[in-house]
Amino acid sequence: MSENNHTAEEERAFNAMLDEAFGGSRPPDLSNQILARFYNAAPDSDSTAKRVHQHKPSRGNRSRSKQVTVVAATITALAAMVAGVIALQPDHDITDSVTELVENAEHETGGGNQPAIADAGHNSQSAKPEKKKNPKRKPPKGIPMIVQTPDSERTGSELEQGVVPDSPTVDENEAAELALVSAQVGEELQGYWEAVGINPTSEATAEQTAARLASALGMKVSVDAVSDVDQLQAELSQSLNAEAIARRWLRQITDQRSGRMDAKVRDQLVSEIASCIQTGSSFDKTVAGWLNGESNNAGTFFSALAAGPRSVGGEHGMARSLAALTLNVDIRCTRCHDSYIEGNGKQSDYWNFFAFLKRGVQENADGQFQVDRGDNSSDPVFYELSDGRQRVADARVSSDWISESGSDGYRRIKEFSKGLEGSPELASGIVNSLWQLVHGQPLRGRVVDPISAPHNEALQRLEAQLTEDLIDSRFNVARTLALIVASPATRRAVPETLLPENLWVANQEDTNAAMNAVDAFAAALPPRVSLPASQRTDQVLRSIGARIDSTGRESLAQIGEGGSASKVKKGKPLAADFPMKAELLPVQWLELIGDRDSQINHLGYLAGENKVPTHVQESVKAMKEAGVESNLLLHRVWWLMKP
Amino acid sequence: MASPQSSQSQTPDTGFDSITPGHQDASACDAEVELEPAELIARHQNGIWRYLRMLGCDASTADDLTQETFLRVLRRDSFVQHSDAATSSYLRRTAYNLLVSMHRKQRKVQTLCEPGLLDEIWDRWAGKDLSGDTAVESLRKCLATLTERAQTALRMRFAEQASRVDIGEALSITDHGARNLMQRAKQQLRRCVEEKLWQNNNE
Repeated sequence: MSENNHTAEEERAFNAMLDEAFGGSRPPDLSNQILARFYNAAPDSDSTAKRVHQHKPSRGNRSRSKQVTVVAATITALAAMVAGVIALQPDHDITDSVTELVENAEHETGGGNQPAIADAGHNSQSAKPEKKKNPKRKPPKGIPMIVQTPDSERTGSELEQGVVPDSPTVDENEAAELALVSAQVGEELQGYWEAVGINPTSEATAEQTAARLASALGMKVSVDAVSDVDQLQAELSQSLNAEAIARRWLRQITDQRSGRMDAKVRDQLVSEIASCIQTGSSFDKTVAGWLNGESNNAGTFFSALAAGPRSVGGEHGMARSLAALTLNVDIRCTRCHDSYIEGNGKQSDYWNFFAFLKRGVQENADGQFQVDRGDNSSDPVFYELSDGRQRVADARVSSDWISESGSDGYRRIKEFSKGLEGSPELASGIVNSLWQLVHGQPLRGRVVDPISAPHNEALQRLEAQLTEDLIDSRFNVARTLALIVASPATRRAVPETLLPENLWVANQEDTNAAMNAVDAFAAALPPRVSLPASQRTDQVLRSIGARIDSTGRESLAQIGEGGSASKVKKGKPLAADFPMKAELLPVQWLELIGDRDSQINHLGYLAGENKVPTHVQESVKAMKEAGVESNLLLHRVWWLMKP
Repeated sequence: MASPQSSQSQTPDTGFDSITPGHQDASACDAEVELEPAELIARHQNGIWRYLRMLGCDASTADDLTQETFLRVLRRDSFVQHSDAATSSYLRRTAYNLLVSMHRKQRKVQTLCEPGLLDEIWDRWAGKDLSGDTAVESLRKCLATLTERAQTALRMRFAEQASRVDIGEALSITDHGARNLMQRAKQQLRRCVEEKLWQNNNE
């Protein structure tokens, strides 16, 4: 007992009321969030009935499936035993008794009207309730797990109800059960690894995986949730987690540029994305609202896409990021020329899209963006072809980029935003973006990138599966993120060869094999600390002896300064992923480019820069002077600039 | 078959015997028409949120767990609404269990007393209307009956999170004096709220 003979609990209860009475937090209206999550997410995630539907459960779900099987078998055995005993008694309705027994057993194993979290140890309702069918309630999807009893008519009708859901809240496009899709994703990924001939590394411990996820998503993932997709989705949807993810994802969408915009303005956008993650509401509609200017955050969204200095962001940065998110189109190369490597990008498409954005989104004198919702025209945009001729851009979104746009593509931003709602292009852009958030590279990488997964039909099927599921779930991004996080790719261990302690003893063949596995999401890279540009430059200079410590003093000057060598502080070790040897180019297509400066410029474009930043140029100059071998120099340039 | 009425009488606090709409019998006189999800949430969300606050959750955690509580319950195929009081009790128990699970996952050591005792406290203060709205409203009215110094002390404590030392300095008394003042004020408030709730109940 505490003061005045009131228990601590009573004191806390009264204090909570006082807090509210004095203007503290009041109960919010959570109806919309709860209803959105209820209707958007796959229903009844803890239903045992659906788990039997998984033909190949993921590793993490196996033990639970086993439990379900054991429980079902126990119920059946008990029912059979007692039925036999009761059948010997005169004047007893065997059907009722067995049904009652089965229902009671179901109740004890999680069915019935017990508080939903039974494992908390306080499910202390003393008497079991009678179970009656509620005609309003929707039966679970899939094949219900119903123990066969002599009451075959009843179970038969239940089975029929299970097949034909009658709830008005369920539409034809409803997504399949989350655990089932997760198992299918895992299976598809395993098939992909087999098809490309890569052996995935062993599973990392749940703690290692949780730590890696915490670093990628900016939130703490519980160890239990690592392989439980339902729990994972629930955790991702919690308000603080959703906000942390939204912040990271916005950086991802904007190629890290959102970090350079005004924090207060950015927070508004983060809140809107977090709300989508938390409530499971349709993210395609949110994107459409930003594009057509109906959302309050429309200008903020475009400001985020264009944030940062001209060398990185601006209107070209905006075009690149927007095309990647909304259309899953990579336009890094096509600003200057048609795509030579992948062969499907045209320079005209880039500039037409650029002109389309320039007409639809205008920047005012204060640097704020506004969507032009009218039919205004704008100044023509000219661009230079690779042979030096000038051409005027035709402001539109190419019909090659979005399937349902008609032969002429979209000419107005309002039509474009409408066309994106529910589109497979937007869905695949989101899937790849979320995959990159978790795994550091998009699911379907580009051939031009230094790291990209080998492309084949299995990978294409995996992407299509996630894309379709996102559309079916009405663009519930928390669900897709949970599926990605729960995939086997997330739980891979770091190959021995790539561990920092083995860096110097590993042979090139093993390192290549390990890197191939990393490319295909079959192995993890060691944890990487994201260093600021100044520290990366510092490491490059230290590696060639141009700087001894981080003070920036030349080595000879330090010796001549009158101090002894012992006074020089020992420098920090170089980053684990700092390139120390290189046999090949970072990407082989660089061979097609004649001079080294142009190769460096192209690495800059790959990293999403409009031009090579000054600190990289200085490092290149120092490395050239130090005689660093050409391939290694390019690797280090990529290390300096890679996102 | 076990009689639904007999099990109900054994468990008045839970009352989870199912009453199917259109199949209500005379003994289940408090049974009401089953609420749609939106109505159910509107009816009980304030109560569940305040209950979680009463268990020591901050506002943000209470938001999250309130949502989780309703989702868990709504997704249960076997959930049946028997009466407002039973549904409220069921929701509170689910919320309680979710909080315990959350503490376990976060490896947080926080002792929560038995849910039965918490229910008693809840019923005493906020459970009259299942939402706590009446109790908080009564408390607001009762605050006006306190002396100005007592009001200042409590406002500093709860609105400004001031320490007892600061409160004492503001009122030119020692920190022990501030503590005693607040205790007396809270005791007076408790009596006042109880009186108002009793009046409301008997009107």
